[in-house]
Amino acid sequence: MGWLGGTTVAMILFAIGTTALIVRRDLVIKLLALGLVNSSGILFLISIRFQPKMEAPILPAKVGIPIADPLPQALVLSAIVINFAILALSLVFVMLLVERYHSTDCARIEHAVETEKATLGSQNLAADPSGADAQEAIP
Amino acid sequence: MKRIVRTALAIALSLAACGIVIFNLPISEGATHQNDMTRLATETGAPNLVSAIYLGARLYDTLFEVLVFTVAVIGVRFYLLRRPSTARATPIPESHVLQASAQILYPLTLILGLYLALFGHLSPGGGFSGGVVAASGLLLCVMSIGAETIYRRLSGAGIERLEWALPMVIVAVCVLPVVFTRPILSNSLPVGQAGHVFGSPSILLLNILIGLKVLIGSWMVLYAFILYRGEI
Amino acid sequence: MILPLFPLSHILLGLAAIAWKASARATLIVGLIVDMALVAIAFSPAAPWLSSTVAGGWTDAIGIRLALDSLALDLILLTILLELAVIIYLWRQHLRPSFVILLQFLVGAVMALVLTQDLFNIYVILELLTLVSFLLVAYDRRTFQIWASLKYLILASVGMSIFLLGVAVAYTNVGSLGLAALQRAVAENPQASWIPLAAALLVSGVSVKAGILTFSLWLPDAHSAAPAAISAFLSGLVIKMGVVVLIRLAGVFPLALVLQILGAITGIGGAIYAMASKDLKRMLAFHTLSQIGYLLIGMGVANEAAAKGVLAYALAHGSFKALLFLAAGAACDVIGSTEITELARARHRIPLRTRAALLLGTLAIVGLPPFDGYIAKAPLLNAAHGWANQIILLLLGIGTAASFAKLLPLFKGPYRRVGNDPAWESYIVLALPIVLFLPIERALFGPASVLPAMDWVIAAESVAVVATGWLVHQICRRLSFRPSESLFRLEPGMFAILLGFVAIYLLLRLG
Repeated sequence: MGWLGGTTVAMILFAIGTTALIVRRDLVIKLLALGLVNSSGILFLISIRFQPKMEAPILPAKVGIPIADPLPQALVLSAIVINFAILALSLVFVMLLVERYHSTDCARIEHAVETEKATLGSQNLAADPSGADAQEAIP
Repeated sequence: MKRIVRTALAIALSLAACGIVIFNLPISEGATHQNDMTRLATETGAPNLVSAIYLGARLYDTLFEVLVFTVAVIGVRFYLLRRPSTARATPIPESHVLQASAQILYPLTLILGLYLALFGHLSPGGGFSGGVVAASGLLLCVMSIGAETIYRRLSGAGIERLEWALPMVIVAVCVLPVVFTRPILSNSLPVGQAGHVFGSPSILLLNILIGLKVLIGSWMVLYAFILYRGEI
Repeated sequence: MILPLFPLSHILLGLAAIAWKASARATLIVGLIVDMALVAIAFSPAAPWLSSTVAGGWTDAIGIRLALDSLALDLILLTILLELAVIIYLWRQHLRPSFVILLQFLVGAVMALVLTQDLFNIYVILELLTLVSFLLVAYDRRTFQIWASLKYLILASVGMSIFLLGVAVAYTNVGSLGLAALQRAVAENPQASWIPLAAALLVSGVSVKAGILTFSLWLPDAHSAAPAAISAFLSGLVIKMGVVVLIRLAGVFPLALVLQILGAITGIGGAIYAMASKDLKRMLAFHTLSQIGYLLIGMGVANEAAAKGVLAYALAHGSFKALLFLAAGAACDVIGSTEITELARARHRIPLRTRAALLLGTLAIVGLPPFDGYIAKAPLLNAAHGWANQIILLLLGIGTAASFAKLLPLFKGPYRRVGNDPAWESYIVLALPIVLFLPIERALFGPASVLPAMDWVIAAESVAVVATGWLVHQICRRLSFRPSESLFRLEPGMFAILLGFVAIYLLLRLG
């Protein structure tokens, strides 16, 4: 089973993620698919330069056993934090939109945004109708 | 009909894209740059090579990481905390099983997070994972004690100020080597004996700072989500 | 040693703005002064003008290399110019500290990106730019802004995932993340099988952010929905960041044909949609797409003169696009609508200086002779060999002129002095490079000047292009031609990214 490495699995997950991102209409599922796409990139990154018999990159290394390359693992740390930030912020925006339009359907929200912009003009729409600047809670 | 065509096209395209990569998969070489790695470990004093890389050689990247995290926290709080107070959602009633087990688990999780952050340069761990585990511990604490109590205690201790103070201290630590006449963004404090907790004081310091930053940032994001869960 | 200070100073100032809330505006000014001081140090005879260091003094194999080359310097100057203009524009408004910190991070990230020579650093900074611009576009929290931002974030995130895959493939085969090592590896073995794959992944990933039509279908919505000052920054500066990364990649991989094809599609597609658009800010956003087409064709031609032309055009485009967005924002705020017909009907209510700024911006963007649009386009027109390139550049020019001819009704008629023009000083800051591009550039760069002397043939050609564009607009007004706007939704955007990646890979593999 040499060909079924982490890289292959990562690409299959990537394909599943992008398909779901296009096909599914629910915004929350689109975000889950986005998380899957990002995670597949991370899996790809840690699977390169790794073979099953390697040890963790912590010195002192055992004699005769090669250690895995630490550089992709350091990159993965950054990638994970970035994915966290993207998911958190996109969840916030999805929440704002869902509260405004009372539906999580992507097509319906898109249609509603476009018709509102066309009819009301762009100056008059607020995301939450109960008032934009209610609190100076944070800067 | 149009929907089926769209689905079929989507599957075909995704499989094509992933197929292209799989077809060309690079063969991973076994040997890494062993000499380079030993030199990296001795220069930073950290046996954990991953820590030595992301807090030593590629500190510039990690700095932007921290900024990404800061921006995420600012964004979540800006967009959620501006709602009028009538949008405050009522808390979900929790099961007693959850509450009881959370009461037992949260001290262990917090200590595990502390360990991961402190010993990140000796064994797998580091500031980011330690901070995330500690934030999970804090969430368990919320489940057992309650969000409002913890919010009052933490805000009373001035946690809001730490949110901007910590990145400033991290940038200061990056610039600090100028005092020791070494280039910026290198490890400045003198390296001790490898394998010891205080063997690489720069990396230890950065791990603690990053761990605290991730903990506080995650707490703020979690609290904002707890308050304004939103409804359909 | 001083190179990391360019971004670090902005980061510290942004954090200071949130720490001491009353100092928010002061940090903007301090940031500008620090930038100008650092550039002056870089220009001074003591420090070498082109300096390159590895951050932290590590080796090239595992460290991150930073370098200040002519591309970086060009864009840092553009950043300083736009910073000054936007600060003046926003000065009299109430600025929240969170807005200031996001602005400072945006500028800091832009500076960091132009200086870096390391693939993964490019990834992290591009993600930071995505997040910060995503937050700034939706700052007024109107629904269409939130939806445009969300689309932007999702598409950009998928694009960056693809870029990360490209970084992984490149690293596996090269052993280091630096651009210099990558270049050496590609030069050693140009027929290796990993090269088309890595190049396709990296180029598709970054094209999502660079404003290339088939990938960046989020751009018209996001740039037209943003508040005026942010649109100016985004179209003038942040889009160039994707182009900068493409330039760096073009120095490593053999991308000439791909860039020319992408440039042609983007330029012509953007021009067609701009001609059909009835909304002022949306039309300006479509124009950003078509001007990026100019830059890409210039990069694709890949000779010395064209490279210099690309640098000059990036700077010029930043100045007049920002001027147009700032003036359009002010005009739309006064009138209350962004439709061109509405603005034309109520044109006597638009403040005088705003109208003058719109006129100046229009003349510059269509490429009329004395202004900087023409001066910066001339080297590109000169250097583009081959009849295909020449025809496409001509078509782009005609398309630009045709769509801006729609704005002519705005400039006729009564020129009464209407009061209350809050930000006219920022127009002057941006108008200076537009009018005085040649003298300023000769003064700054002296012997290393990138612009040739005035060429009457190309000047006449430009005037002819503008006149043809006006004629085309008169013809098209009779036909009612509306290309489909449903291309700019979320799902077609995703489709286009995947399709584009497959197409680029096939092109690189078989080309």
